[in-house]
Amino acid sequence: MTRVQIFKVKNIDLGSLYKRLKRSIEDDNFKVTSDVVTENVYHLRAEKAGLKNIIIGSVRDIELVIAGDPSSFAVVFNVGAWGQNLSITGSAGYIVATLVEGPALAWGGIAAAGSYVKAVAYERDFWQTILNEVDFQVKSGKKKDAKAEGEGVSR
Amino acid sequence: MTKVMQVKKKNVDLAQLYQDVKEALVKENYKITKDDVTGFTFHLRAIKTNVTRIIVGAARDIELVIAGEPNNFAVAIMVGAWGKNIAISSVTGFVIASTVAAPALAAGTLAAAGSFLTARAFEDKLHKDIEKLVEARSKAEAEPQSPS
Repeated sequence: MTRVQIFKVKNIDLGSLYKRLKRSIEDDNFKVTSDVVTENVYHLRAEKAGLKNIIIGSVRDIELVIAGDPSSFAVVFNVGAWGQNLSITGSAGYIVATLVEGPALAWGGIAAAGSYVKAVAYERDFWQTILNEVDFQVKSGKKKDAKAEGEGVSR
Repeated sequence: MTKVMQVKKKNVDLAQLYQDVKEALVKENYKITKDDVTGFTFHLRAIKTNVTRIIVGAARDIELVIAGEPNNFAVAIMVGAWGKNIAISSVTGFVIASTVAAPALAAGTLAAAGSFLTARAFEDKLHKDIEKLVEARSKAEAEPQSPS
Protein backbone atom coordinates (compact mmCIF):
# COMPACT_ATOMS: atom_id res chain seq x y z
CA MET A 1 0.00 0.00 0.00
CA THR A 2 1.70 3.12 -1.20
CA ARG A 3 0.73 6.74 -1.51
CA VAL A 4 2.67 9.12 -3.69
CA GLN A 5 2.21 12.83 -4.24
CA ILE A 6 4.22 15.58 -5.85
CA PHE A 7 4.02 19.01 -4.24
CA LYS A 8 4.94 22.13 -6.19
CA VAL A 9 5.17 25.84 -5.41
CA LYS A 10 4.78 25.24 -1.68
CA ASN A 11 8.18 26.59 -0.61
CA ILE A 12 8.29 24.90 2.75
CA ASP A 13 10.98 23.78 5.16
CA LEU A 14 11.35 20.08 4.35
CA GLY A 15 13.55 19.46 7.39
CA SER A 16 10.86 20.80 9.68
CA LEU A 17 8.15 18.82 7.87
CA TYR A 18 10.17 15.63 8.25
CA LYS A 19 10.91 16.29 11.91
CA ARG A 20 7.23 16.80 12.72
CA LEU A 21 6.16 13.70 10.79
CA LYS A 22 8.86 11.63 12.47
CA ARG A 23 7.66 12.77 15.88
CA SER A 24 4.11 11.85 14.91
CA ILE A 25 5.26 8.37 13.86
CA GLU A 26 7.10 7.92 17.15
CA ASP A 27 4.01 9.10 19.02
CA ASP A 28 2.13 6.27 17.28
CA ASN A 29 4.52 3.84 19.03
CA PHE A 30 6.64 3.00 16.02
CA LYS A 31 10.32 2.33 16.45
CA VAL A 32 12.42 4.12 13.86
CA THR A 33 14.81 1.53 12.43
CA SER A 34 16.41 3.64 9.72
CA ASP A 35 16.73 7.40 9.39
CA VAL A 36 18.62 8.65 6.36
CA VAL A 37 18.85 12.40 5.84
CA THR A 38 20.79 14.13 3.10
CA GLU A 39 20.53 17.66 1.72
CA ASN A 40 17.52 16.80 -0.42
CA VAL A 41 16.23 13.49 0.85
CA TYR A 42 14.57 12.44 4.10
CA HIS A 43 13.92 8.74 4.42
CA LEU A 44 12.80 6.76 7.42
CA ARG A 45 11.67 3.27 8.15
CA ALA A 46 9.84 2.31 11.29
CA GLU A 47 8.26 -0.84 12.61
CA LYS A 48 6.06 -2.20 15.31
CA ALA A 49 8.00 -5.08 16.70
CA GLY A 50 5.95 -5.97 19.78
CA LEU A 51 4.42 -9.46 19.74
CA LYS A 52 1.12 -8.03 20.98
CA ASN A 53 0.86 -5.86 17.92
CA ILE A 54 1.53 -8.79 15.65
CA ILE A 55 -1.14 -10.95 17.33
CA ILE A 56 -3.94 -8.45 17.35
CA GLY A 57 -3.15 -7.49 13.80
CA SER A 58 -1.97 -4.11 12.77
CA VAL A 59 0.61 -2.26 10.76
CA ARG A 60 3.89 -4.16 10.46
CA ASP A 61 6.13 -1.39 9.21
CA ILE A 62 6.09 1.94 7.45
CA GLU A 63 8.42 3.80 5.15
CA LEU A 64 8.38 7.54 4.52
CA VAL A 65 10.35 9.40 1.87
CA ILE A 66 10.46 13.14 1.26
CA ALA A 67 12.69 14.05 -1.68
CA GLY A 68 13.29 17.27 -3.56
CA ASP A 69 13.58 20.93 -2.71
CA PRO A 70 11.21 23.26 -0.84
CA SER A 71 9.24 24.25 -3.93
CA SER A 72 9.19 20.91 -5.72
CA PHE A 73 9.22 17.68 -3.77
CA ALA A 74 7.74 14.21 -3.61
CA VAL A 75 6.28 12.46 -0.60
CA VAL A 76 6.01 8.68 -0.65
CA PHE A 77 4.42 6.74 2.18
CA ASN A 78 4.24 2.97 2.35
CA VAL A 79 2.55 0.79 4.93
CA GLY A 80 3.22 -2.92 5.31
CA ALA A 81 0.67 -5.09 7.12
CA TRP A 82 1.04 -8.38 8.88
CA GLY A 83 -0.52 -11.00 6.61
CA GLN A 84 -0.63 -8.65 3.64
CA ASN A 85 0.99 -11.23 1.40
CA LEU A 86 -0.97 -14.23 2.61
CA SER A 87 -2.83 -16.14 -0.04
CA ILE A 88 -4.33 -19.56 -0.57
CA THR A 89 -3.13 -21.46 -3.59
CA GLY A 90 -5.89 -22.42 -6.00
CA SER A 91 -4.51 -25.85 -6.68
CA ALA A 92 -3.37 -27.12 -3.29
CA GLY A 93 -5.42 -25.03 -0.91
CA TYR A 94 -2.36 -24.37 1.24
CA ILE A 95 -1.77 -21.03 2.83
CA VAL A 96 1.25 -19.41 1.28
CA ALA A 97 3.14 -16.69 3.05
CA THR A 98 6.49 -15.09 2.94
CA LEU A 99 8.78 -15.81 5.90
CA VAL A 100 8.20 -12.42 7.41
CA GLU A 101 4.45 -12.99 7.62
CA GLY A 102 4.96 -16.28 9.46
CA PRO A 103 3.66 -15.15 12.86
CA ALA A 104 0.40 -13.97 11.35
CA LEU A 105 -0.31 -17.55 10.26
CA ALA A 106 -1.10 -18.45 13.86
CA TRP A 107 -4.26 -16.43 13.48
CA GLY A 108 -5.24 -17.67 10.05
CA GLY A 109 -6.45 -15.78 7.03
CA ILE A 110 -9.25 -13.92 8.76
CA ALA A 111 -6.96 -12.29 11.30
CA ALA A 112 -4.57 -11.42 8.49
CA ALA A 113 -7.39 -9.81 6.50
CA GLY A 114 -8.29 -7.82 9.62
CA SER A 115 -4.75 -6.55 10.00
CA TYR A 116 -4.73 -5.52 6.36
CA VAL A 117 -7.84 -3.42 6.89
CA LYS A 118 -6.24 -1.75 9.92
CA ALA A 119 -3.12 -1.00 7.90
CA VAL A 120 -5.23 0.56 5.15
CA ALA A 121 -6.95 2.73 7.75
CA TYR A 122 -3.61 3.73 9.24
CA GLU A 123 -2.28 4.60 5.79
CA ARG A 124 -5.34 6.76 5.10
CA ASP A 125 -5.13 8.52 8.47
CA PHE A 126 -1.41 9.15 8.36
CA TRP A 127 -1.62 10.42 4.80
CA GLN A 128 -4.11 13.00 6.05
CA THR A 129 -1.59 13.90 8.76
CA ILE A 130 1.03 14.43 6.05
CA LEU A 131 -1.29 16.71 4.07
CA ASN A 132 -2.15 18.65 7.23
CA GLU A 133 1.52 19.05 8.09
CA VAL A 134 2.30 20.32 4.59
CA ASP A 135 -0.47 22.91 4.98
CA PHE A 136 0.87 23.82 8.40
CA GLN A 137 4.35 24.35 6.95
CA VAL A 138 2.94 26.50 4.14
CA LYS A 139 1.08 28.68 6.64
CA SER A 140 4.13 28.89 8.93
CA GLY A 141 6.24 29.99 5.98
CA LYS A 142 3.74 32.68 5.01
CA LYS A 143 3.66 33.99 8.58
CA LYS A 144 7.44 34.20 8.66
CA ASP A 145 7.46 36.03 5.31
CA ALA A 146 4.81 38.48 6.48
CA LYS A 147 6.75 39.10 9.70
CA ALA A 148 9.95 39.71 7.80
CA GLU A 149 8.17 42.12 5.44
CA GLY A 150 6.64 43.91 8.42
CA GLU A 151 10.04 44.31 10.05
CA GLY A 152 11.42 45.62 6.78
CA VAL A 153 8.74 48.32 6.57
CA SER A 154 9.21 49.51 10.14
CA ARG A 155 12.93 50.13 9.64
CA MET B 1 18.03 22.03 -9.20
CA THR B 2 15.43 19.39 -8.69
CA LYS B 3 13.06 17.46 -10.85
CA VAL B 4 10.32 15.31 -9.41
CA MET B 5 7.81 13.22 -11.23
CA GLN B 6 5.12 10.73 -10.42
CA VAL B 7 4.55 7.68 -12.57
CA LYS B 8 1.24 5.83 -12.43
CA LYS B 9 -0.11 2.65 -14.01
CA LYS B 10 3.08 1.71 -15.81
CA ASN B 11 3.84 -1.50 -13.93
CA VAL B 12 7.57 -0.99 -13.88
CA ASP B 13 10.07 -3.23 -12.12
CA LEU B 14 11.62 -0.51 -9.95
CA ALA B 15 14.71 -2.53 -9.11
CA GLN B 16 15.41 -2.96 -12.81
CA LEU B 17 14.75 0.72 -13.54
CA TYR B 18 17.11 1.70 -10.73
CA GLN B 19 19.78 -0.63 -12.08
CA ASP B 20 19.40 0.88 -15.57
CA VAL B 21 19.78 4.41 -14.22
CA LYS B 22 22.79 3.41 -12.16
CA GLU B 23 24.48 1.91 -15.20
CA ALA B 24 23.73 5.06 -17.22
CA LEU B 25 25.39 7.20 -14.54
CA VAL B 26 28.44 4.98 -14.36
CA LYS B 27 28.76 5.28 -18.15
CA GLU B 28 28.73 9.08 -17.66
CA ASN B 29 31.74 8.64 -15.36
CA TYR B 30 29.90 9.14 -12.10
CA LYS B 31 31.09 7.35 -9.02
CA ILE B 32 28.30 5.96 -6.86
CA THR B 33 28.96 7.09 -3.30
CA LYS B 34 25.73 5.95 -1.69
CA ASP B 35 23.42 3.14 -2.65
CA ASP B 36 20.55 2.62 -0.24
CA VAL B 37 17.90 0.13 -1.27
CA THR B 38 14.90 -0.97 0.77
CA GLY B 39 11.69 -2.73 -0.22
CA PHE B 40 10.14 0.39 -1.68
CA THR B 41 12.91 2.93 -2.01
CA PHE B 42 16.01 3.15 -4.18
CA HIS B 43 18.31 6.00 -3.26
CA LEU B 44 21.70 6.83 -4.69
CA ARG B 45 24.24 9.62 -4.64
CA ALA B 46 26.95 9.93 -7.22
CA ILE B 47 29.75 12.41 -7.78
CA LYS B 48 32.22 13.44 -10.43
CA THR B 49 35.60 13.75 -8.83
CA ASN B 50 37.54 14.14 -12.05
CA VAL B 51 39.51 17.43 -11.95
CA THR B 52 39.06 18.16 -15.64
CA ARG B 53 35.34 18.04 -15.21
CA ILE B 54 35.47 20.51 -12.35
CA ILE B 55 37.45 23.04 -14.38
CA VAL B 56 35.41 22.89 -17.54
CA GLY B 57 32.22 22.90 -15.51
CA ALA B 58 29.54 20.27 -15.33
CA ALA B 59 27.30 18.57 -12.87
CA ARG B 60 29.08 18.10 -9.54
CA ASP B 61 26.89 15.47 -7.95
CA ILE B 62 23.60 13.72 -8.37
CA GLU B 63 21.09 12.38 -5.94
CA LEU B 64 18.36 10.13 -7.21
CA VAL B 65 15.38 8.59 -5.45
CA ILE B 66 12.90 6.14 -6.88
CA ALA B 67 10.23 5.32 -4.31
CA GLY B 68 6.90 3.58 -4.37
CA GLU B 69 5.48 0.52 -6.08
CA PRO B 70 5.42 -0.60 -9.75
CA ASN B 71 2.13 1.14 -10.55
CA ASN B 72 2.61 4.25 -8.48
CA PHE B 73 6.02 5.70 -7.79
CA ALA B 74 7.97 8.92 -7.62
CA VAL B 75 11.31 9.77 -9.16
CA ALA B 76 13.31 12.68 -7.75
CA ILE B 77 16.50 13.89 -9.40
CA MET B 78 18.71 16.46 -7.71
CA VAL B 79 21.76 17.74 -9.59
CA GLY B 80 24.36 19.91 -7.91
CA ALA B 81 26.56 22.17 -10.04
CA TRP B 82 30.09 23.37 -9.43
CA GLY B 83 29.89 27.06 -8.64
CA LYS B 84 26.19 27.03 -7.89
CA ASN B 85 26.70 28.67 -4.51
CA ILE B 86 29.08 31.36 -5.68
CA ALA B 87 27.94 34.93 -5.12
CA ILE B 88 29.52 38.34 -4.93
CA SER B 89 28.86 40.17 -1.71
CA SER B 90 27.23 43.54 -2.38
CA VAL B 91 28.98 45.04 0.64
CA THR B 92 32.56 43.92 0.18
CA GLY B 93 32.70 42.91 -3.46
CA PHE B 94 34.44 39.70 -2.43
CA VAL B 95 33.56 36.45 -4.07
CA ILE B 96 31.83 34.20 -1.59
CA ALA B 97 31.53 30.50 -2.07
CA SER B 98 30.65 27.56 0.03
CA THR B 99 33.51 25.17 0.71
CA VAL B 100 32.15 22.70 -1.75
CA ALA B 101 32.04 25.25 -4.55
CA ALA B 102 35.53 26.55 -3.90
CA PRO B 103 37.31 24.61 -6.66
CA ALA B 104 35.13 26.29 -9.26
CA LEU B 105 36.65 29.61 -8.23
CA ALA B 106 39.81 28.64 -10.07
CA ALA B 107 37.90 28.93 -13.30
CA GLY B 108 36.22 32.21 -12.33
CA THR B 109 32.55 33.06 -12.05
CA LEU B 110 31.96 33.00 -15.81
CA ALA B 111 33.00 29.39 -15.96
CA ALA B 112 30.86 28.77 -12.90
CA ALA B 113 27.82 30.17 -14.70
CA GLY B 114 28.62 27.85 -17.57
CA SER B 115 28.82 24.88 -15.24
CA PHE B 116 25.43 25.76 -13.79
CA LEU B 117 23.87 25.63 -17.26
CA THR B 118 25.63 22.41 -18.02
CA ALA B 119 24.31 20.83 -14.86
CA ARG B 120 20.80 21.98 -15.72
CA ALA B 121 21.16 20.49 -19.17
CA PHE B 122 22.39 17.28 -17.63
CA GLU B 123 19.42 17.22 -15.28
CA ASP B 124 17.05 17.64 -18.24
CA LYS B 125 18.81 14.88 -20.14
CA LEU B 126 18.72 12.50 -17.18
CA HIS B 127 15.05 13.25 -16.67
CA LYS B 128 14.28 12.44 -20.31
CA ASP B 129 16.43 9.31 -20.18
CA ILE B 130 14.54 8.08 -17.14
CA GLU B 131 11.21 8.75 -18.86
CA LYS B 132 12.39 6.64 -21.79
CA LEU B 133 13.55 3.88 -19.45
CA VAL B 134 10.17 3.91 -17.70
CA GLU B 135 8.42 3.48 -21.05
CA ALA B 136 10.84 0.74 -22.08
CA ARG B 137 10.38 -1.12 -18.79
CA SER B 138 6.64 -0.62 -18.59
CA LYS B 139 4.56 -3.78 -18.58
CA ALA B 140 1.32 -1.87 -18.34
CA GLU B 141 -0.22 -3.23 -21.51
CA ALA B 142 -1.69 -6.70 -21.36
CA GLU B 143 0.53 -9.28 -22.93
CA PRO B 144 -1.08 -11.28 -25.71
CA GLN B 145 -2.31 -14.62 -24.44
CA SER B 146 -0.85 -17.68 -26.03
CA PRO B 147 -3.41 -20.13 -27.42
CA SER B 148 -3.87 -23.08 -25.08
